[in-house]
Amino acid sequence: MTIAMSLAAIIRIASAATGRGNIVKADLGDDTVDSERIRIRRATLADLPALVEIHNHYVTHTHITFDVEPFTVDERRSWFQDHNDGKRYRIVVAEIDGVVVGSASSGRHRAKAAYDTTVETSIACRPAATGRGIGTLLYQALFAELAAEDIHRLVAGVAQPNDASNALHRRLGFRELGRFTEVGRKFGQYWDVLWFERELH
Amino acid sequence: MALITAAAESRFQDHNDGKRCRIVAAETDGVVVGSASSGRDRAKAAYETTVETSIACHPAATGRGIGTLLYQVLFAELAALITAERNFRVELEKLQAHFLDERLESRAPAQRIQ
Repeated sequence: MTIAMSLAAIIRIASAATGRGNIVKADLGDDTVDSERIRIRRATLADLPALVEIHNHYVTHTHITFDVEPFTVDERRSWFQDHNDGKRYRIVVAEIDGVVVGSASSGRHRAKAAYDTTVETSIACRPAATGRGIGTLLYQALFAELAAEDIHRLVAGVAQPNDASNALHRRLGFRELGRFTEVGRKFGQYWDVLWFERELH
Repeated sequence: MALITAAAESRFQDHNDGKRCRIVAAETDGVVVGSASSGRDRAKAAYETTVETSIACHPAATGRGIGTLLYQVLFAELAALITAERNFRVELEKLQAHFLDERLESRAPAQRIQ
């Protein structure tokens, strides 16, 4: 099975699950899939400015990322490389009419060697593109990309409160592990992080 | 004596900034038998106020309460830092208030509102 086919199959399931009647059109000629106007594909370095713009919105306006200072595109290059090794670490993006509206990624969870088989996932959509099932499509595509990799656990930390992200992670098969209380300080107050995990398969 | 590699040295420095990241060691008769340390939990800036602690004793030195002593000393070191920072902030605020008062006093007196 090619990546394109597995992506298409999963996005069909995801579209059916969202019940929005998205028309799914798989293009088996390359590794992309159209779902109505939403296109999910692998990220390239050309997407970095859009990804930085989306991330910086959440850095500046919300507690949901624990980054505090916005990034320049140049500063974010090492993040892109760290999440784009073509193996355990990948980035997929969602486009609508050629505009990147969101991404999902997997990255190293912790530095020590025995953590190799655990990846930490992350997801973000433009504020205007939320609530339309794009997060589900992104995560499904990311998991399909990782399917053949030597990964045993996916983990995700969600800064609280964030009902939408909690619901997304539960919907995607993540189990709630526990809550680290007041582990982050941003905007002069402390924030909790709820951790989730799931098997890759 | 184990060879000190550059990686080991950088790991030591990461846990020994004299502020939130510290290492304390336990000795018996001049021999180091254990340590406790605090280090950065995660890289993102908002995690600054969270430290991850770690502790280890020589296998022959476990079960003797050394771990408890090590952690108590580590926590005391870190608490002293918090107290020092808090005192510094209080002094700074006093100083700022003082200068603000001086500036206000140096202005022409406000007109009395009848």
